[in-house]
Amino acid sequence: MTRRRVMTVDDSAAILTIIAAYLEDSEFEVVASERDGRRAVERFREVEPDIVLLDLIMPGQSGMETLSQILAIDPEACVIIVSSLGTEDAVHECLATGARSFLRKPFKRDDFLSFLRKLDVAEQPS
Amino acid sequence: MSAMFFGQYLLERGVIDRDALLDALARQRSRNRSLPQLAVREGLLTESDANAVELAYRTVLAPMDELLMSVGGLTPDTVERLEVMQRADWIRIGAALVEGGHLEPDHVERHLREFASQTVEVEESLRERFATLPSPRVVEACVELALHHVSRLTDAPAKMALLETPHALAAPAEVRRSSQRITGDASFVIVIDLPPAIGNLAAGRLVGSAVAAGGDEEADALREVVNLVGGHTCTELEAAGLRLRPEPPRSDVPPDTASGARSVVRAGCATGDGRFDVWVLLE
Repeated sequence: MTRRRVMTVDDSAAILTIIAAYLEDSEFEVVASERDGRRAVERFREVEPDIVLLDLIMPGQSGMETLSQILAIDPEACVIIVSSLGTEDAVHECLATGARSFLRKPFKRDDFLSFLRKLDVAEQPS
Repeated sequence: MSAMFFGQYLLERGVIDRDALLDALARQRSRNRSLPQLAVREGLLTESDANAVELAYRTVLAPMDELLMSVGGLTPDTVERLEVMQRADWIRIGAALVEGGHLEPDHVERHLREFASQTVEVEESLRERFATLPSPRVVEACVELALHHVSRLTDAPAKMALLETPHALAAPAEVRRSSQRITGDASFVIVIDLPPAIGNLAAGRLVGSAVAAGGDEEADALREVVNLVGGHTCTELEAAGLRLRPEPPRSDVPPDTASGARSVVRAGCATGDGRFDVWVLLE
């Protein structure tokens, strides 16, 4: 099985740990984790992940800025916003900018994997 | 509290995709108008008067129809006519998805029932106590969501036992403190003070394994706890017309908070055999 390569971006080490644990023994593999938006953009160029899980509220460069910069590198990048903020305004802004979907924290492992699988199936060419 | 709007609920479950949600939101935005916006369109209020009514709605606990009369100077008959016009035009997200051909009506009904069943009933008595405070909607949302998340993470019921408005935020003695400032239509700081044992338990439960007491990992996890509370508070208050955005969470309070707070609210809470405080500093 070829595992889908995931990059996680969140200023919280706790969230990075949780996501890594959730993806263990699944068809998804964490290939990079970053706690800073600017560094995440550099790492995106280096590792070219299949999926980016991106936090919205981060110190320094925000998730929205990071999203725009990643999409400027690769307009087809599959970026999923993972945030505790679920306002209609925020969801709309992220999706309209080009995020593929929006997942609200917190989430359980089964729900998280199910969400990724559904999205990933939709992304794969038939 | 769901702290999520129905469109996002459907998106998260893969019921609809991003394009469907964007289409439905666009349909809503082109059709749905607030009562003050309708009054402007009908030539009944100036933009300035409508803004004054919208501002009053966000900051005081009064229904919109009353504010249109008391602040906007409209008559009851005029307000009723506006409400009829608003209902005729208004489209909910589910109906917008059906209209756009993204969902069938019976699917919307089924998912709406599931969505509604996830919300938690709020005790009426608690609402009455919050109503006596400055910015009651803001304080209520912050405290209820803090109770929800602490309870979830400690696996014990958490209840508010005390609500008071002290002069200032207490110094963080013997507590694990985390805070988050929220800005936008309102500005306030949420502060959660957990005793070391509860803080360590909550941090460990969040991460999924034990964390060292008083260490960086614990502090990081507790910042994420207040981040959950802050993010969900913004989402909850969006329904009350407030557009809010959280700043990154901290393990202290923002340095300019003490001088800038116009009101301080402390909710003393109990969970299991421990106590903790949720502070809301209104700026």
